This record gives sequence, C-alpha cells and structure tokens, in this order.
Amino acid sequence: MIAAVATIDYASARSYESGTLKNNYGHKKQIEVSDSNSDWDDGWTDDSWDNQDSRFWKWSGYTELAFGYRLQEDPLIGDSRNSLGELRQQIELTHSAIVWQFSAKADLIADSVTEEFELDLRKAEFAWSPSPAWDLKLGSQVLTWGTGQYLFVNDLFPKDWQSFFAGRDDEYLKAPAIALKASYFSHRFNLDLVWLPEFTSDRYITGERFSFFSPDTNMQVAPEPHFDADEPDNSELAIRLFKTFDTIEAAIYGYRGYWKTPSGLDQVGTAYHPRLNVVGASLRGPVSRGIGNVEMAWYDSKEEPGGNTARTPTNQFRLLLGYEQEIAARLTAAGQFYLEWLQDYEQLEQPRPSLYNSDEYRQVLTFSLRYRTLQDRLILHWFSFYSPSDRDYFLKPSAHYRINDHWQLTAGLNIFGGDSPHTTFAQMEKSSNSYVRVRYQY
Amino acid sequence: MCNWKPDRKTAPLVSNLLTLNSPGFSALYLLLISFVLLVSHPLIAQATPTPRAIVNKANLASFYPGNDGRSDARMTITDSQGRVQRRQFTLLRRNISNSGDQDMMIFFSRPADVRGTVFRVAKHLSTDDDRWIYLPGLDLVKRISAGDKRTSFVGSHFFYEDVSGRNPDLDNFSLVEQTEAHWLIEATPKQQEGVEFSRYQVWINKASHLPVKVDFYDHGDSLYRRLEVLKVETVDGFPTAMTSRMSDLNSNANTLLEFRFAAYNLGLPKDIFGERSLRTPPRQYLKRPER
Repeated sequence: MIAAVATIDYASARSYESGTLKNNYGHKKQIEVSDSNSDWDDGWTDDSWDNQDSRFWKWSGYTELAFGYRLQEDPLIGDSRNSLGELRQQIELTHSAIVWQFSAKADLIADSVTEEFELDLRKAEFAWSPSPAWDLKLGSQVLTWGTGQYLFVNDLFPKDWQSFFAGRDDEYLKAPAIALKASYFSHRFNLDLVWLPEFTSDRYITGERFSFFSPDTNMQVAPEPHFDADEPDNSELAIRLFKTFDTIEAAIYGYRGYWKTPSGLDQVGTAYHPRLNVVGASLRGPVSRGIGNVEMAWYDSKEEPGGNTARTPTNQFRLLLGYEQEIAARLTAAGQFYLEWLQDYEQLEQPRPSLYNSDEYRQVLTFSLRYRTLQDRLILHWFSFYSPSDRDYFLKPSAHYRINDHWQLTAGLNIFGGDSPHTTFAQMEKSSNSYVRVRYQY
Repeated sequence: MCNWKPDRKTAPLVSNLLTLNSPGFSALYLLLISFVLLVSHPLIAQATPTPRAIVNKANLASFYPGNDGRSDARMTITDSQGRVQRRQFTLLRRNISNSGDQDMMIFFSRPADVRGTVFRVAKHLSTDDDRWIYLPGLDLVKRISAGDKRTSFVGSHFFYEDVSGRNPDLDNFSLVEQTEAHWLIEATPKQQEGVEFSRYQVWINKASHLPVKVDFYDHGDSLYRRLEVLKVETVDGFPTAMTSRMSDLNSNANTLLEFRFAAYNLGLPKDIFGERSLRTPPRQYLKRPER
C-alpha cells in the first residue's frame, strides 16, 4: 500500500498541464514508497533480471512424449496402429551481442514408429547486421513468409507434411534448410533475398508412416524401401520485396528452384523434382472488423531442356483469399478460399486421360475457430479443410492446456476423408489419427 | 510566474495600451493586467480542474511519459490456489503524438516457450489497433485481428487495455472527492455493452498524476477487480509505477507487474517499430540503460 506520498513542487505539476513533458522531476527520487519490499525472491535467479550485462549464453529446451493412434488400421503400413510414438529432447542455445547472434536448436528423437534414433538440427544460424540497412542470417534455419494459414502460395521453403499430419507441434510444419538470408531495409522498400545452396525438398509422405496414392499404379501404396526421390544438386533462390502502406502490407515474391515434392515422372518411371519458377504478390490489412489477405502466384513449371520426362506438372495459377475476425471475446474465426487453376488442362488430359488426374480448378475452403479461456491456459482450436472440387476433407481439432510454466498437454485429431481414392486428403483416409503430447520445458 | 504571452493578434492591442499615457487608459491598463494575471495564474486554474482534465493528465503520466521509453517487465501470475506463473519481457514504446497514437513492441524472454516471441502494437485512438505477433519456431509474422481489449494480456490478470491504456473518450468522469494527496474520480462507460464493468473509481495522485488505485465494479455493482500501484519511482524525471498489482477479488487471484531498468527519451527511431524488429530484435535498444 502507499505509505508515503511526497509533495511535489508546483513547477513540475505545471509542466504536465501545459502538455510539455519536460524533465522536471529529476530532483525527486521517489514520490510514493511502498511500505513492503516487493517479492524479488523468485525462481528465475539464473536469468538476467538482476544482471546488467545481456551478453551471455542462454539455453532452454524441453522433453516431450508424444503418442498417436490410428483411428483405423492401414493394412499397407502393418499391424501397428501407432502413427506417432516418440520421446523428443530439444535443446536451444543462444549467444547474443549487439550486432550479431548465434543460435542453435537440435532435437534428439527416439522414434518407436521408425524404430530409430534421429537427430534433427532445427537451427544453427549466425545472424549479424553488417550495416544499419542490412541483416544477414547464415546457416540452418526455418524460413516463412506469405499470408496463408496452413496454405502456402508464395512460401516455397521446405514443409514437413509428415509432422503436420501426425499431430506434432505446429512448429514442425516447417522444416529447416541451410540458407543465406540477406535482408535490406530502407524507406522506399524492403527486400529479402534467400539463397539455398542446395535444394531442400519438403518432408513428404513416403509410405513409412503413412501410405499414399500412386497415380502411376492407380492404387494406394506404401513402398518398401520408402519413396525417396533423387533431389537436384542445384540451388534455390527466393526473393521478397515488401513494404507497408499505412496499414496495408504489400509484397512481391519470386522463386527459382524446383517443385518441393517429386511431382514429375521421367521416362523410366522414376519420380523427380521438376524445375519451377514462381512469381506472386500478396496484400494483408484490416478489413471491416478483422484482417483480410489476398495472395496469388503464377507457377511456371519448366521442362528440363532435352529431358526425357514422361510427366511434368502443368503451369498453375494459385489464389488465396482469407479473412479473420474475433467474433466474440477470446473467440477468433477465420476462413480461406484457395484455388489451384491448372493451365493447358487439355494437354494434361490428352496424353493421359485418367480418373485420377487433378481437377482443373482445385478449390479448398478452410474454416477455423480458436477459443482462449482459463486465463489463456486452455486453447481450443478447430481447423478444417474442405475441397468442393475434390470432395475431400481434413479436420484438425486440438486442445492445448498450459498447466504451468513447465508442463503442457496437447491432444487432437487428424481426420481425413473423401469420395475419390486419389485426392489430396482422401488418400490419407486410413492415416486418420488421434494424438496426445506431454511436454516439460525449462 | 505568469505564463501568458501575447500572441500575434493581441500584441498590437497590448502595445497600443502601453503607449497610451492618459490616466484613464492607465487605470484600464492596470485593470487589464491584473485580470490577465488573475485568470492565467496557475494556482487558480488548478483549483478547479475538470474530472476529464485530471484523467487526461493521468493518461499522459501513465502511458505517454517522454517521447519514448523502454523497460524490462515481469509478471507474476498467481491463481486462486496460489500457483504461480511468470512472464518476462522487454517493452519499447514510442509516442507518435501526446495522448494519441503510439508504437509498442514487447519482446518476451521468459518462460522458455515464449522466448523470442515478439508482440507489436500500433495503437490508434480513432481506429482499431494494428497487432502482429512473431512466432520464432515457425519464423512466422502473424497479423492479429483487433480483439476485445478487455481480455487477459498474455495470460495475466491485466487486460490488454490496462497495459496499452483505455481511451478516455470511452468514459464519463466525475470527481467524487479530493484529499490533499489524491483525486478520486468515478468513471462510467458511455456504452455499457461490450465492457464487463459498470463503473470504476480511480485514485489519482495529485503530485505525480499517476493513478494509484483503481476499483472496478461489475454490472451488479459489486467490487470485483482492483489495481494497486505499490511502488512509484522517478525515472529520467518521470514518475513511473514500478510495481503494481491487479487482483481478481472474486477468485483472489492476482498478477504482480514489476518494471526494472526503465528509461525514457532514448531517441528510439520510428523504423524499429516494424517487421524487421519482429524477426531481428533491435538489441542496441533492448539493452539495459547504464545507471
């Protein structure tokens, strides 16, 4: 409680009245004094709360136990209904100075599904600012841009679809890549230039954890050895020019590289990553009471010159429209419309008329609800994908409970289904699963 | 001292009066000067400040000290069963205009699951705030739609509005009483819908203009929420609430908010309040001031 209230001189008070916030209080060290010392006795004595020097090593991490259970058996995968079963140990280490920072993050995983120990280096990056206008980041890093929620139009950085479908934390939807990212900032425009010296593919469905539909054999498969296409030895380049106009964020994107999943087929029937160039743009800003976004891109699928390819993806126009609004206190609703418009569709259909060709206008609608309650400790999240053109769906409800600063509990479902066997989500039908994760962090 | 200065319009009139020598004009001149001194004397002007003027000053003192500022902050969140959670972060703030729009960034350092998370707010008085959050695990800059400002700020008992400042235009104010040290102001929201309180009472220190206690009453008019300022220090000339506590009186849960290493008028550039600082925190401005 307030024990003592010192008087203040008249000139000081006057300065507030005139609105000129001048330094008139310098001679008063303490105006109101608490009669009890605040409780500084805390569990965080190892941090920098009392420390003047901010340049030191920081480390943190967590241990997580995760189980996933298939809602139905997938005979192609085997008897085990385990879709997820792992003990994960993450360690993150950061060393910061004013103009540079080194950070590393690695996961050590004991995986009961693959029956392997795995080391996943999530991050090993050195960041520094060589001049006031430039930021550089070099090393293994996770990269994201664009405006979609779980839908990517201009973001061609590697994703981990296995993790996303198996119910790992959202963090694992993005896979790390070795890259040099140079960012330039000025009043006229901002620029991100990302160079990946070696092509890094998505972590796609291989038949190891989940089976998939093979358009070449016209059936669901889980090949042994697991599907693993050769990756091009070449580099990838991604560019983003961006600027905020008042409250509208605008960006132009460019990409030169390869399809992130092996969607091409050569003459001998081997899958490969065809060449791909992408140009696109996005806008994001306040619309009505919420946030609206629009993003589009032209996917220019390149034939290898003189290549002996049997199939390459057609060019595509991709469009994403999104809107999000808090519709009641702590309840946020969002919707997206996504379009993949295949170009030269007749040429795709002519040589290979098939029931299993993609729709000329593949559309996906997403809807999400997110509710925060219990002082933000419980988050209920509904996310659903529905494709009216493919007539398939992916439902992804989850509940996240933050017990305290150390313990977290997450449970959820990944439910796939659809009318045809070959479409994006319908082919995952037998991969539908439930999962639970317990995390202890420090 | 008299703060009254002749402006361009009145200056010729005043100089004409000064050059007139007739006794009648001298008397008029003396009368006029006395009147000007009288009405412009701050003691007299201060004797009857309107409740809104007091609140405006309190708003300035609480949320707008200096042109900009930084502070380390820590929240100790205690639930009704005595279980404790914490948040630690560094705050950067820059005024675009006094009592007006502001840029704010909050850099979380604790606990581990939010380390590296950055929250950015462009506060607007006339429209919804613009808000972004950076999630380091995904390298994702997410824009957040304008939300209910009277919901928990980062899981604490402080509301978003308690931290960023409630627009005084939203309430009507009346002066309940004053003591030598405090004004007691009662505020009632102009629109009862959309807020969880029916009125609140705020004790404002006359010297510092800082609110030292705020009591919130629910729609049944029972006291259910209280803010207490436990420690005020003068930092760079500005009285600053260094320790405050927000209590939920129904559940007996509360959040203690402590500031350390506060500093004002650092000359924070406008540019640092942007996407760049979400992905790469401006460490030269986050470092603690040398005292």
